[in-house]
Amino acid sequence: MPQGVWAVTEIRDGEFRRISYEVVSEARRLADALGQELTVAVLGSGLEELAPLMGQYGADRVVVADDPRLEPYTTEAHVAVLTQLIQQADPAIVLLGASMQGKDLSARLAASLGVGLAPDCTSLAIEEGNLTAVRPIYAAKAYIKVSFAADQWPQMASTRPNQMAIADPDSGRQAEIVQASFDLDDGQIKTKLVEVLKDESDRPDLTEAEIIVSGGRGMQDPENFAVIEKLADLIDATVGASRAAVDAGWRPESDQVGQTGKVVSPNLYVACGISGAIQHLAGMGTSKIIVAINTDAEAPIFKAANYGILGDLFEVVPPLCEEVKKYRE
Amino acid sequence: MNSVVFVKYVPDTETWIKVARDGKSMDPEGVKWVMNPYDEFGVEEALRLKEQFGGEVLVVSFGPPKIKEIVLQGMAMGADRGLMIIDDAAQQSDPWAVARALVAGIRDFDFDLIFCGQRGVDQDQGLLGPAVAQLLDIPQLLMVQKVEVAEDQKSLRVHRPVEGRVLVLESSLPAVVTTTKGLNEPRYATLQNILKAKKKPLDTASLSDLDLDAAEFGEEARKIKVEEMSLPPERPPITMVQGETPQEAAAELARLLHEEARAI
Amino acid sequence: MPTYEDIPRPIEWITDEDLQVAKAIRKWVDEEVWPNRHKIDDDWEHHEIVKPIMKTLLVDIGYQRGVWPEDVGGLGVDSCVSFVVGAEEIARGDSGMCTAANCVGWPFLHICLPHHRNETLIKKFGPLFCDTDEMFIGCPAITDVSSGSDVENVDATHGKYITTTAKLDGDWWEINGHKIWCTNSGGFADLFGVYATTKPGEEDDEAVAVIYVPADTPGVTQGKPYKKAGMNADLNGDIWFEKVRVPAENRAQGPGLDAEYAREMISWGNVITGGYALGSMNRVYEILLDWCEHRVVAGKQLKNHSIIAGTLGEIMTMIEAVKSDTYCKARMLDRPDLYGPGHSKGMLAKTRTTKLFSTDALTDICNWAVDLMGSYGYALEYDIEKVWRDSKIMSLWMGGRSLCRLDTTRYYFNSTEI
Repeated sequence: MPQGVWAVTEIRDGEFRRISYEVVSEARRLADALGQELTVAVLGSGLEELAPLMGQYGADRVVVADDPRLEPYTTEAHVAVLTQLIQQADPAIVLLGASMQGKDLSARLAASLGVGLAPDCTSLAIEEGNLTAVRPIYAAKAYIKVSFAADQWPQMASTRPNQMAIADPDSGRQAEIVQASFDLDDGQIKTKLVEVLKDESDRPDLTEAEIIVSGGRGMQDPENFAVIEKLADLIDATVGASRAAVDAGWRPESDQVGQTGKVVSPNLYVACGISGAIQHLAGMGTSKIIVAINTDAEAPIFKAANYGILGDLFEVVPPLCEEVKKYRE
Repeated sequence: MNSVVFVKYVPDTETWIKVARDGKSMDPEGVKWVMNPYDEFGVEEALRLKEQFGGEVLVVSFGPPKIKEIVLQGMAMGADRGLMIIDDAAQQSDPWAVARALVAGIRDFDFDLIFCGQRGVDQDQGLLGPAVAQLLDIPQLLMVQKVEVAEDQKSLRVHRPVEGRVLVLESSLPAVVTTTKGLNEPRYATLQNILKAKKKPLDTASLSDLDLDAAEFGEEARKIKVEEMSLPPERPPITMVQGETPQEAAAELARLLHEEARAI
Repeated sequence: MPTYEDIPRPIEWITDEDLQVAKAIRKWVDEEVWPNRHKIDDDWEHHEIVKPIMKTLLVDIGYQRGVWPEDVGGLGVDSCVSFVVGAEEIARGDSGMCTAANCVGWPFLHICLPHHRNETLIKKFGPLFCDTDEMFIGCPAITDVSSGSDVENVDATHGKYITTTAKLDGDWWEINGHKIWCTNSGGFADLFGVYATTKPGEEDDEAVAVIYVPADTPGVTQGKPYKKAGMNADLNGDIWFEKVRVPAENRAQGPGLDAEYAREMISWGNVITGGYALGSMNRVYEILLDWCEHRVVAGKQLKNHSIIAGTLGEIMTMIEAVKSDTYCKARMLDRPDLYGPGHSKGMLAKTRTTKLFSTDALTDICNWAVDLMGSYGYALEYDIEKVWRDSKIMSLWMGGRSLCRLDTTRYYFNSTEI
């Protein structure tokens, strides 16, 4: 009978990415519900300092695959190694984060293991010893609760970034560190990272951002985005845009939040001069807290928001900047 | 340079979703169905490569009889041939089953690249491309925004945006590429090409035509089962933040966000 | 939630190709026309915004090649149903553009429809539309300055009030006259289909002549576009013909036949007008769908207020009825083997009813929609006022409401004296 929960981590620039803490914390909760152990998998190169960290977040065991061929990430190498490790360990559940890399890895890994995957889940639970998951569909216009076909192990899921709470680390807690052994043939690796290009913006990518401030048609002019950029700077937010602003050529396509733009799930979403058409709501509807600033009392965004100000964003946002500064000090 | 493009029949993104009586699926009444918007970028990219290198573009879809509309759409944009895999037994198949059918459908086509949309805007999973790549044991390059095939047509370079950076990846061919917004601008189907499409080969295949076992398809065979479908939970009613002046309202909002919502 | 495509249409009469064309046009409307609708509306005079958008439809998508037979590089579209399907989609974006786009080809039905092709003229003019990367604009030059709709009043006036004259001088026609209100004039036109008379002042069907005149022929002057209440994407202006000479072969068919096929052209125009009206109705439905969903009054969405719901029900009933009627008549024109020739008096009457009904319905629907939206209905921002403004002209052209009713009664009641 398969036993235990596995969590797969992601490393960038020598550190665990935030999503890894989310995944490990959630995996710990699932392991507790099952009364089983949590193993955290760490793949990369030069991991001695890093691996033990996950003990503080609840890992009972950290399995380390330390090999120069695992850094940078390639689908083939990580899937090949994890397939072996998982088949050997025979866990009940494998959890990954649905970051860009995670989506790439989890989909191929599930196919490699011949099992199903519930991707991009917003919540997970154990019911009668089995994993169940809730995930958004139709760009979060609906949700489905899914379960796994009988006798399919492991049960795999990936978590939507910024959804799972990160546990408070216990600095006294230590995990057993295991150096993984695996077979990896260079010939298996058919993809190569040639170059990394920097993305112009210094701010976190919309899909990763914890806070987003967006402007829509109410901005009236591309220059006016400076008003919300100022707010964004003060609260470490990424600036987004509605389709109206992108279609008008005020902001690049990469800034578009919406069903056919980016689907985001920040902790805080501030919508300035955005009416809240259904396609926009589909792109940010799972945000934890939504604030709407609009002059139109009938704007649909007010139905979707937690807090609203009926007013001119050009009169509200500058004083809001001043107020927010006080809380940042 | 021969390309396959997988296209999926999905509800239009403007659709208001209602739960069907079975409590697990979307109510199909009044829904407008279209080609998955992400797949259009795949059709366009395949056509561009054909213009650059020559070769053929095959558009393939798996679904109910109405998929003819989107396969013809791909052919009207300029694809050379179409294949529809239609079988009653295959309804409600999961992506891994669909992948098996699609791979079987293209077994006689000598392809260099397989394009499909990065995800279907209905299920939002992004599982098909990797499943196909795994079955064919070929590389997968997901959510790319630029595709460059080498002159000797033996390798491929793509730009893959990940959070905050863009990865330039090189891989061997054949490969699976999943496509997303920003890759290209899908062309119009010209009236001329729409008429030309009438004369291009359009085939239909059932599961048994492809030597596939119907028992591996359909709802019963799904690896992931849908237990129930629901509409999003209601947000608590909005707190309209008042103030005599915009400054007052702004101050109150900041306070609420800090103290109540703990968002800043 | 249904879309306008859910409004019943006889899908067994609509081909796969028609559906692909509809899709292509819809993409053009959604990506190029609708986002620019306010700028288009402002662009009545110079068409700087309109021209590139029209070019995508006419050249890139290829709409200007529609009526021309395949042997000259055209698309050989000879089905009225296909034209209605296309018109519905274009007019959903902008009925002015729809009028302009369809008038590019409409004058040439006289020579392109399979049962009366004029091979010489097809070879002469077809390549101008089909073998080019530029727009080539056709223009129906029908209304005379002093005659108004009497030109189209074929069965009452038999050409008597056509004041544009065509005199045969050896191998040439000499054309003199002054046309007004022509769609695609105002400097835009490349090739006119001119309604003229060879026997000025006489009531004689044989005298009605349809003659094709290239716009760059010496003696042709196009005036400036009129500023109108709507349909700003359609350029209408004067055309003066002063001793204009074109080859004798430029006459569409010949004495008697030109009048017959004028009736046919009007029949087609009646039904395709129904298509424009349907396109506008599709847009009204979308505007109201959005409006009544999002606007909340006294705690209830507008769609759930019974007085509004009543009006919405009436609107949908009208739209459904217009769709059924328009497609039925289009189908009749496509099947002369079943329904008789398109140039018969009966067909004219039966398509006049479609024009009257569809345009009256559109007028009512726009009126109700503006009512329902209140002051917002009067504001540019909310889009309905443009459809309302654009719609009225559909009732007025091609003889107006009056001629529709007269032609209908002439047939059904054999009224010979009206």
